Amino acid sequence: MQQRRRLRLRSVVFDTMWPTETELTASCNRLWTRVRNRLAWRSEPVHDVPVSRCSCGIYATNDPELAAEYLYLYSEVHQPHVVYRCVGLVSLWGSVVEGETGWRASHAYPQRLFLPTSPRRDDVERIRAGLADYGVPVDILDDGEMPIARAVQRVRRDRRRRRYAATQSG
Amino acid sequence: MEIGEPQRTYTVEPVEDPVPRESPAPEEEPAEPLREPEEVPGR
Repeated sequence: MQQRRRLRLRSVVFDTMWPTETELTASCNRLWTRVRNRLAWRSEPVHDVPVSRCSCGIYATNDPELAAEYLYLYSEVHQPHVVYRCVGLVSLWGSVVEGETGWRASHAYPQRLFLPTSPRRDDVERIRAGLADYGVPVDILDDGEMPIARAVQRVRRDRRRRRYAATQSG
Repeated sequence: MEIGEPQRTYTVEPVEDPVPRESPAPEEEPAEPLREPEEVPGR
C-alpha cells in the first residue's frame, strides 16, 4: 500500500504494516485481548503470541493455492491506499505453532516477493522498484514453472469460471 | 487463514539473521586531540 509516497506491505486481513529492515513482531489482535492489554493494572500482555489456544500470530501456509487465494481476498472492498497485491515466501521464527497446512509465528520477515502479472507492465515494474526497500528479491510472476506461478494461474482461472457461471445463471 | 489444528509448538532461532538489515556506517576514528605547539628553544 501507499504510505507517505512509499510502498509498504500490509496485511490483507489486519491493519498491520510490514516494516523494512526489521522483523514484524506479532501481537494478539483479538478484541478482548486488546481490551485487557489496555487495562491500567496490567503490566504484561495477556498471553504470549502465538499460543495453541488462540488464533494469533503471523500466518504462512505450505499450500501455494491457499496463498494465491489471498491475492483476491476483500478485492471487492474499496481500499484507496492499496495499490497492488503480492504473495511471497516468508521467514518465520521465534515461537511457532505448526498446523496441518501451515504455521503461525511470533516473528517474520519476507524472504522473496512475487507480483502477479498485469496488462499494465509499467505499473508492475514500478511496484517492484518500490518494494526494493525490503532488501529481498521481488519477482514478477510470468508464466513460469514455479509452484506459486501455477497456483496463481489456477486461482485466476477458477475465478474467471465462477464469474462466467454467475453471469450465465443470473 | 486456515492452517488446521495445531500439531505442535516450538521455538525457532534462525542460524542467520533473516532480516537484511542495513549495515551501520563505519565508525569514524576519533580525531586526535589538538596538541600544544612544542616549544622551540630560542636561539
